[in-house]
Amino acid sequence: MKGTHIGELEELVLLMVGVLYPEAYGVSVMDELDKQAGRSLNISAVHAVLTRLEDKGLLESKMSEPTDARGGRRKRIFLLTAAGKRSLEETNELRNQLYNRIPRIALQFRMA
Amino acid sequence: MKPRPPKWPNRFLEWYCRPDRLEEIQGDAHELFDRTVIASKFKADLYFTWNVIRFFRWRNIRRKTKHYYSNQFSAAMLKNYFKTGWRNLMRKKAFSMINVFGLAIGLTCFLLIASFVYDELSYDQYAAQYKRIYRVGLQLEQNGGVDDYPHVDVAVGAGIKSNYPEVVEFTRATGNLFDYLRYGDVNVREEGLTLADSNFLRLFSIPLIEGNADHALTEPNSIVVSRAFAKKYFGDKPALGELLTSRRYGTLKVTGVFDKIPDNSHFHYSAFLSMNSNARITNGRQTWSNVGFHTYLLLDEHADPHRLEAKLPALIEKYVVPEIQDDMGISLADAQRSVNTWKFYLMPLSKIHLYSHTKYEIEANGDINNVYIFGALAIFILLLACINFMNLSTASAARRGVEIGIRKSLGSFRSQLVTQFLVESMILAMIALTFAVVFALTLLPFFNQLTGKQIGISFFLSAPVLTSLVVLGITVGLLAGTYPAVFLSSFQTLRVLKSNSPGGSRRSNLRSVLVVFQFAISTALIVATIVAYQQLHFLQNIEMGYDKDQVVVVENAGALGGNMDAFKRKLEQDHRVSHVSHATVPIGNAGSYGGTEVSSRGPNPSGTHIHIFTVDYDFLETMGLQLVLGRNLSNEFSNDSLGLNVVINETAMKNLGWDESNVLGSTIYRSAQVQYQVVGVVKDFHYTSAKEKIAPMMMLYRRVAPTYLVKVKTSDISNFITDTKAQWNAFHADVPFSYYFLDDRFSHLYKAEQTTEQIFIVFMVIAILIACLGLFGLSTHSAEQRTREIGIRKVLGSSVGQIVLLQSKEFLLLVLAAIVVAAPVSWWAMHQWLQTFGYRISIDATVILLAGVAALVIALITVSFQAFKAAMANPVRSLRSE
Repeated sequence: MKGTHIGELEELVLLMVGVLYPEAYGVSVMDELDKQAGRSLNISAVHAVLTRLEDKGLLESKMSEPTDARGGRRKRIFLLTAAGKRSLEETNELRNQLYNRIPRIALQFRMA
Repeated sequence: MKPRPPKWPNRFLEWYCRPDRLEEIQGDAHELFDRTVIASKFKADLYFTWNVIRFFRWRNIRRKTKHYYSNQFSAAMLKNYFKTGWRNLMRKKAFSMINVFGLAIGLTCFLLIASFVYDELSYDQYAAQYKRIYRVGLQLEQNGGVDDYPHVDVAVGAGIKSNYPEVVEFTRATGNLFDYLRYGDVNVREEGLTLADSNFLRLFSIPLIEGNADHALTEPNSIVVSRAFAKKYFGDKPALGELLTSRRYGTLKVTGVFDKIPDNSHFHYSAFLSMNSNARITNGRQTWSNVGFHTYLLLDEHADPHRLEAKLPALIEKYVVPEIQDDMGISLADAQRSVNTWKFYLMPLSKIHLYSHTKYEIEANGDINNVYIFGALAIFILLLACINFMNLSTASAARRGVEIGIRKSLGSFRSQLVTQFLVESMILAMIALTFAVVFALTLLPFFNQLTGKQIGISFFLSAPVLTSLVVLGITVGLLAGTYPAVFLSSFQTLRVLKSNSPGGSRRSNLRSVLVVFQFAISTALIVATIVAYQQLHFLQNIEMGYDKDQVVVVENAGALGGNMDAFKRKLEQDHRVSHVSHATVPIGNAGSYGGTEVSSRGPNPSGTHIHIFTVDYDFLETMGLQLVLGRNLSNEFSNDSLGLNVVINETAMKNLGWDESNVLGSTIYRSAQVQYQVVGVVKDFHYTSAKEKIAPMMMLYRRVAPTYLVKVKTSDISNFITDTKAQWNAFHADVPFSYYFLDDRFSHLYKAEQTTEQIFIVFMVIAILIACLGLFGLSTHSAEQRTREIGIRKVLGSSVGQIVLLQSKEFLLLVLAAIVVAAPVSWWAMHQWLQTFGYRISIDATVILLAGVAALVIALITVSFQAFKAAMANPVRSLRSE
């Protein structure tokens, strides 16, 4: 169901948009994914994920002021929406809850 | 310089990418390029290209504009288009007038000519089954040429029907006959009578307003008359059942009244008599080898006329050959040989008017060539007008550069601008069309007078015509508006806003080509008009070989009966008369002369076709004919007065195989029983129109001839006519006195050509006018564009002459180019046209030169008018405005 579930890459991109606030746009998100998560993506793939998230209502966007770079072209700046933030919180919470329920012994196990 | 991303991938991106995403996508791609290019230009190029390809996704691809921007055609926007369009028209009133009226005039001509062409093409289609009706004609070789008869003998129709089942019905009519009809005090010579079979009215779908079409022509001595005909005799009384007295057929009973034969018919009989009124036709011998009956066949729906036509030669073998053999008393082989060039053919009813050009048509037919010529003329004029419209619209673009720039920078799309200009040009076209319809309706009576047609206003108001008018308006609007629309909307926003004038608006290649095209057409039309005029003039002034002036022709000589000679003597005694001859009229169409087959070597039906003139002894003198050999017919020789001696023309002498040394005393064989001796030869004279070659003819004496030719030597013609009429009445002829002048009849010979010529001249003038309007508009515009330049030139010391020359030069060069294009084309076309005449002029190079000079002068006057105005203007005013 659209809007209720997001994939791993989508979650990652959502996080990056949050991290990069207020400078999240195609290229910066791509760079950050590479730097922080070691995920090397083509720029078009990043665009695709961003627009998909926008369609799901987790991101919103506006055009930036033009600068001299990029031939005077504006960037599309992505921001988290309330739904996007909630979605991040929910996944984070779920993760933490589940992580806390892992038996300690299981984490101490070492492979020989 | 900063390295730039590769051009083609970038363009590709701009092409496919949806506009609302383009900026961010292109921005990101460029940013990445800028980052990588520091290391390696090649790698950066590759990377950029790769990215562009990766961006090529469904989500990013441009779809219909509608998806992103609604309301492109909103009412508000359309209102705005109308408003700005109207303001633009009003701002330059003269320019708009030229634009609209040029188009309106062009459309008017187009409409009028189209109505003419439509009318020509619609002939005989009033008959419900016209597609299945065919006329039988007869072709045979004679005099080294093909003689073509649109009618056949009395038995042919019935013969074809009985032999071939695909022929459902046949019907016959005799063509125009004359007779004297009497009712009470009314006694009139009727020309348009015909004997017709009883099914004629039904087959041609001629409805009767009184009487029953199925039975009206069944009984002998029945007559079905037109409404006008009935009114002439019976006034407002009901005509049905009334009795008329005919000189030929006795009492005729009116059994039906029809309104009138439609204008677009190849016959216009005023009354139909039942075929069996003439007992000799119905009860007499049913022959095949003569002509005289216009015979129409109704074919079965699935019948193939070509296949039927291919079967007809069998009928010649079956019926014509035995008949000839009997009549001429010759052997079977001779009879077969004599008819081996005979051929019955079928002519579709709807094609008779435009395609049948035999010498013996019921009425003068139209000509498909005229339809083509006028059709081409109409399209040319329309094209000229459209070109004007295009040229003037694009030329006025400069004034609208700012508007376009502002519209674009406010977010207009190109498609919106195109729409705007198309809407504008369509509005103009519609205005022009409205004017054109009004003009056409106003001019229709004059046009009808010119063409001799009766096209009614109702033609223009019928639903199909109105629909096609609207379609025409839209088409013209689109045609004329597309180029300006595309051209105007292509201006670069920044450039028009900055410089206030879009580049290339003063001199555009397309516009030059169009001007050349316009003037080429105009020049060609001038050439055509001059050549046609010369040819016509040549025909009318060709030495006819006789003296047509001051000759009064008195008709109906036969009506005087026993007083025929007395009347002639009375005329001769009149001191105002120099000669009188009782003879055949020497001017007419070839079909009006009787003729027969003769030979110089014994009886032979396939000899020379020769026209026979019935004359008396005074004919040569009265007509001023010149005897080259032998003597005139004279009452001193008994064989002359018996009609056994003849005088022939030079052509007959040559065609019969004689020359000056042996012609006199030679024998002309008409048949085994009838022979003539040649006693004299006259110089060839044109007894038909000079369009045709002179044909063989012979003159023989008969006491009875249809007319008196009276050569008068007085200027007081009207008194002479009054006296002659009194003389006629004194002899108690039961036919009214009627006469005409020979030279009037002569000018009738060229009426068709004169009409064509007149129409052509009118439309040529209009075409040139339209071309000039265009040139005028363009030169106005050009002068306006160069106001500053001219001002500066004047300040720096240019003379008025130099400036006029400067401005006129470019246009004159175009006109010169047009003349070069037009000269060979028009020469060739007119050469083809001249081939249709028996006697013709050759085209003089000076004609083309003259036309060229005329075109040049017209153009010069048009252009220099504006050029002078600009050159005379005070430079202070033009320069201060800066």
